[in-house]
Amino acid sequence: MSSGAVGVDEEHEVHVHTPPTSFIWKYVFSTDHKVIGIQYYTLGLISMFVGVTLSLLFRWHLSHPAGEGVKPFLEGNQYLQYLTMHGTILVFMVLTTAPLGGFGNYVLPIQIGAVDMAFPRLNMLSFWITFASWVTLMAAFFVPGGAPSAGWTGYPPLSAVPEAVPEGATGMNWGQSLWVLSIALFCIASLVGAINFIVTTLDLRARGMTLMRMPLSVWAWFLTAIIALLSFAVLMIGGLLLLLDRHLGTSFFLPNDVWMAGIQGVGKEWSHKGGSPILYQHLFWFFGHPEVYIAILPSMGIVSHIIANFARKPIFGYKAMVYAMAAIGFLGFIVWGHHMFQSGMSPYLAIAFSVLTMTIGVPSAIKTFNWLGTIWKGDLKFTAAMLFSLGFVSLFVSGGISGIFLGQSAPDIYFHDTYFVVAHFHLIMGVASLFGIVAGTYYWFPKMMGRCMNETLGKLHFWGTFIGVYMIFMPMHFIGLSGHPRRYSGFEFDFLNTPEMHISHTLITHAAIFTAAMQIIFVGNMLWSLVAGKKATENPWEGTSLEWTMASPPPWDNFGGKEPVVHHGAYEYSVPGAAKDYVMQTDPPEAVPANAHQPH
Amino acid sequence: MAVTVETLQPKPPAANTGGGGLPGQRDWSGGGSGDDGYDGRHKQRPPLPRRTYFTALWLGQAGIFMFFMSLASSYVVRRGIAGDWQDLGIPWGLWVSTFVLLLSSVTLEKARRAITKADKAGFSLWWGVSTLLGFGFVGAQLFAWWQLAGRHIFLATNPSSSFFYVFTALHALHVLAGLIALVYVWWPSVRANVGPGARLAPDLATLYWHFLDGLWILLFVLLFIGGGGLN
Repeated sequence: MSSGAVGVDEEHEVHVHTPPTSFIWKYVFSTDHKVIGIQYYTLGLISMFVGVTLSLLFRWHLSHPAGEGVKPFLEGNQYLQYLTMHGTILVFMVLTTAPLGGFGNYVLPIQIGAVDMAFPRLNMLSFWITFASWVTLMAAFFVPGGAPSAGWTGYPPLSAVPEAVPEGATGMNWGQSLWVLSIALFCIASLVGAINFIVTTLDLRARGMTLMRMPLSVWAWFLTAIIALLSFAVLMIGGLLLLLDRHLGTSFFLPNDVWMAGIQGVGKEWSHKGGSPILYQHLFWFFGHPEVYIAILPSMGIVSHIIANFARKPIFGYKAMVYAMAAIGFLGFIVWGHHMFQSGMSPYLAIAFSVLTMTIGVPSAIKTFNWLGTIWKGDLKFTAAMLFSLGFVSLFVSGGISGIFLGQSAPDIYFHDTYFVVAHFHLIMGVASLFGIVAGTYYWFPKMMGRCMNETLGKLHFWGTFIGVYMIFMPMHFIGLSGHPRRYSGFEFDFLNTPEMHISHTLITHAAIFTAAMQIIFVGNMLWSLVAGKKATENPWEGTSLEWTMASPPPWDNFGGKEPVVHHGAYEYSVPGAAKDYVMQTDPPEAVPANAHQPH
Repeated sequence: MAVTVETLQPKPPAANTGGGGLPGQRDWSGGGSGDDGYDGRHKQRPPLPRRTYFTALWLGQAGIFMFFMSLASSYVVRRGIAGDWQDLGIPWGLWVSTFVLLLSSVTLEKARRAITKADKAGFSLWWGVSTLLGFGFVGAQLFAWWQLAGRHIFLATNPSSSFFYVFTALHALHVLAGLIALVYVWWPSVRANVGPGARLAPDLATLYWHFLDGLWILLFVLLFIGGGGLN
């Protein structure tokens, strides 16, 4: 550590900055944002595999119900356990790690012209804490009692009472405690990571890279990080207090009149009194709603970036897109009660949450129309990345519209806890966000890996997945409307045990298997292209942003020791009078003729 | 996050834009101790402005603030919803700890003023006093816990005591992090380099400490109001 020397060394001690060469410093404990991004992405990919496998297992159970001489496919609490882990793994370990930790880490510093994140070692720390969180969560499968079964939301009283299942049954023992611990670690990692993202975007932009010249993907990661910073802390409190209720006898969430297995207090002295499960719900959903925006906003940014690129047009209404994302982020903090309409709240409070929820539709619609405006009369190139981005827009609309129904407190009395809700959040959060991740993969794979993915396989992957997900989730709206409750593993009730319900479940399950199989094409394409794909040039997509000025894959220090200087905005496509149909951000100022733009 | 105390004034304008590149493009590959003190594995880049570290700290503090405010709203809600709340008399040890913490903030400011006056001895003294007072705060909190234990009041005894222990324990954990920072700055090899132009670490540590102090005032008032006064 130097001793306070100012400025340039007179001495000849040359600070040699060469990339690390040993495997462990290069690929494991690396502080390079590119490696960390790939680490997050890989974690997300593996988690995706686990989470989808779990869903296939309980989908199989639903389409092969127990009956005369037919044993149920899943036994005991396995259904609820797999459901819980499916939700937890996908929401936290896939939708929060891959778009933000994965692509954000890799691409954000490059797109703003920085050499790395502001605090590279802190960045490495946040990945490894996330990894520890992942290990803790996966460990829940292997401890006594197995995985938790209280849902991805972990509501008390069920999640707060270790004795809540009969002796010998599974789903409520150490697994639930590990679940809480895993989430607490995840919160810490996210908070630390969010600080890095925000500070990097504010302070490490290259010269000329004003805020309004940043790509929309950068805006999305930046705003998402702010949301994460403010919301994860609240989840941590919910988790901590839950842990205390579980193990140390406190009564934050446990009231005094809990019935379990027909015996009050589970047959022993019940020491809890006066706590409120609703308090937990408030804490959880105050985090939980911003969390869904954390899941979707990065994909929105990525999709905006890709659509402009492949429509060869500037994004329609750049500033509106920025303000809309900020509005969605802000409004996302004041609508959490719409997850709690049936918790006994005052109808007046419900009206307030309902109106605010409706309001989020406005910036969302602005974004949707702006995507359409970008495509309108564009010189469209239907690459795999573009197809998935357009698919995102479709899914965002489909999933978003059912949100309008659910956001009204009176109709929600009927919809709550039915498959209608399941259809809604899967389309808009699960699948739409995933399409953004996949689009980003097809778009940035050549840059990251130096090789192109196979476009034909990509198109096949798209059509199979696009049709597949609609086949999975569209029927769920109808069975939800028919009153099919969520999280039911059996069909003992007459209104469920009908041919229509069984046929629907079978259709959904087959669609799910088909869609999952389609992803093999994607993973196979990635792996094959890693070794045998066509070598990628610097700018295969003729994009304008800074990542397309460097070699594929980028050198260790991104810009080869020279700071880029930015002269243009991020979406200078088809500029009238320009030499080519795109002007890179680092092109000289003269590349855009003086009268090419309307003044604004 | 290890923080160096070397100066972080911007490098003198590099004349080394040479070797081509765009007009005005700066060359990052020049010499100089521009990185964060790590040799070898780290990329060259201009030193982070001082402001960046403070932004990061403020953001961290925002997160910590949300953490404690969600606990505070839980406190208010829980107190109001059921009839099982028994007001907890605040043990007088907590008053002592509050006084000690406030005092430590004052002495920390004296230490910072000593830096401005390039008074190394004064800085060492007041920084050391502050660090000891910081440990004194934690000690006084433990004493307050001991007082409650003597009244047979533990974590699960009553919701009011649950919150008391959770608040004080979580705050003390954050104070321990602050103590690590204080001890780090006070370490002989680090404090020898502190000067009017090299004061990032002490300034950052002080800001964090004042934040913990302010946070404690808020929590203390909350516990006091919710606890029904002094015991």
